[in-house]
Amino acid sequence: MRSTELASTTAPEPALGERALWLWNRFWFERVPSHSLSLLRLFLGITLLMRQTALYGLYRIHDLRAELPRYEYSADSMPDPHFAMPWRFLEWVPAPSLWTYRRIDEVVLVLALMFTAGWLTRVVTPLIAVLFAYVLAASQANYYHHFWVFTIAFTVLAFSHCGDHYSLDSYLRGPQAARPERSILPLRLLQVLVSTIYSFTFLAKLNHGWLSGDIIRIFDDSDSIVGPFRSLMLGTLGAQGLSLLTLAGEGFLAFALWVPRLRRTAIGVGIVLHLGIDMLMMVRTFSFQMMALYIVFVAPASGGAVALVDGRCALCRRMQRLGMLFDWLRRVTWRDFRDPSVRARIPDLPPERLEREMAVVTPDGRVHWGFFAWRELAIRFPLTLFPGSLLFLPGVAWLGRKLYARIARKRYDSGCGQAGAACSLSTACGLGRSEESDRAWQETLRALHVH
Amino acid sequence: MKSVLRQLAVVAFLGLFAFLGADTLAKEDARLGWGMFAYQIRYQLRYEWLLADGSTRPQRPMDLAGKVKGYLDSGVKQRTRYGKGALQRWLESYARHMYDTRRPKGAVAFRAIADYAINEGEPLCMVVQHPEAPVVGVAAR
Repeated sequence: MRSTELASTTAPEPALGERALWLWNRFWFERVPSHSLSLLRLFLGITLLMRQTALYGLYRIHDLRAELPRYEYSADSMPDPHFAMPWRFLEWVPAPSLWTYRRIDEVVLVLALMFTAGWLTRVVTPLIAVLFAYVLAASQANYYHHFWVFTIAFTVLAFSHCGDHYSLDSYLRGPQAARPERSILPLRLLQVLVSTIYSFTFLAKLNHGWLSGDIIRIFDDSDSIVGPFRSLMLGTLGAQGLSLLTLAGEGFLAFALWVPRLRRTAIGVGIVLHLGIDMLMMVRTFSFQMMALYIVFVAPASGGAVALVDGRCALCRRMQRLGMLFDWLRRVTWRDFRDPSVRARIPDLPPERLEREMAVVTPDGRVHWGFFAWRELAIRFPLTLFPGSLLFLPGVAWLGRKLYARIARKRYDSGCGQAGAACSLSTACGLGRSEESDRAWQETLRALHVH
Repeated sequence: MKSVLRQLAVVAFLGLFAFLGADTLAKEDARLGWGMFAYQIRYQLRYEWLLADGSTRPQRPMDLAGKVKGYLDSGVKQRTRYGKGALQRWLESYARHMYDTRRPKGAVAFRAIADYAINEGEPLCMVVQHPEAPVVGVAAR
């Protein structure tokens, strides 16, 4: 008895060091679903294909032509075989000949296709990383920012399971194959990469040239700002406007991508920034790579948002299927509010309102109803992020609510609540329960607070 | 063991990125540490041999072609946005190459001289020499 009391009074209060270690390990090595990583593979693969086929550069959109493959060097642009400008301490790396460079370009194109399709990813990804590292190490003349980003990103992905989803590998393994949660480490390393790029770029640009806008005028005088958007952008924003906006955007992105409340805004700012740069300057695929890398900041804890729908409503089930089709990152868990086990978790949500409107509970515990619920879902899906953002414009909500109410009134006409239509989303009518998202959605409902 | 390796991977990754970033800022080489487009340099190069008696002899560039020639040719105005640190490293590489493979009799060092201006500002000069501290003032053997 006494020993029990003692045990309870000296409850294991973790030491500061232990807790710090636990937090460190959770931050770097927590096991999470690998949808983000797989989607990153898909998008990074597309940017690599853009590079290998010369399909990049909005600044030359009027003159975009594919090359199959695009060769980095011609006989005229090849460095002299006697002096390829090696890096210090890497003089021992043999410089490729023109023939070798061209074979590398061809092989990388094939590997890029396999990587994007997710075929033999565990072999293909390290191969791309090695080829990129070799080309980069062979000569200082081969350095480009986009090439360096590719080299690091492929090296990290080479040690990851980026072919778990949205891949031929996954398809060939079959639907029953296990897709276990993976370490978050590759995502974290790439998050650090993105943040480091913005931080040091921002710091390096804190100089008179950028603050005064002189640098944009110099770029313009050097014919580096080109293309059909040049006059529009320079005319509208001016040289100083462009340089200050670039600085502000990069400084903001360096930290805002880490802050959940600012993340959505940061991604929007980043996309505008990089599209703007790509419209004006030749930066190869750098802009598109950075945009693809934003995926690493999106919801590794997938399934966190819970959509509560009416399992007896045919229209609701159709909308759910549509939603799941767009939910590439598996950020939403769909549950039938009529399921007793779900009802038990949401005692504060009025059932009569749930029958009238769909509800979405976000990971911060907030409840969004009807039109606002769909708006929350739209900005969580990659394809509908931008159109979804337009739903936040003034006046749209008023219109959206009217429209939603109209559809909701008519939904029973489309089969909802009819005899025999009853079923549960998590059983026959649903698209299957994902074990991996159980923890996430249950935590969300635990955090729920009704306003 | 696996746990130690992954902890090491994290520390190495963070250390590498911090080092590269700091190196970029300190050496003004925008490449590996992401100091992108901080400023533009216009430069013009010339090369010379430093002879044992302390005199110099001009040298036209050799072994340059294609893209590297675009960076290192002499007598032409060039520009770069990789920073003066990158220019210095290109010149160091070329000076080493010339000294090791093209050194004429009596020469004790190869010099690359860059006349440059940052953002079209005041004219500056950078001298890169290999080896850095040659023995000068004694007759060559």
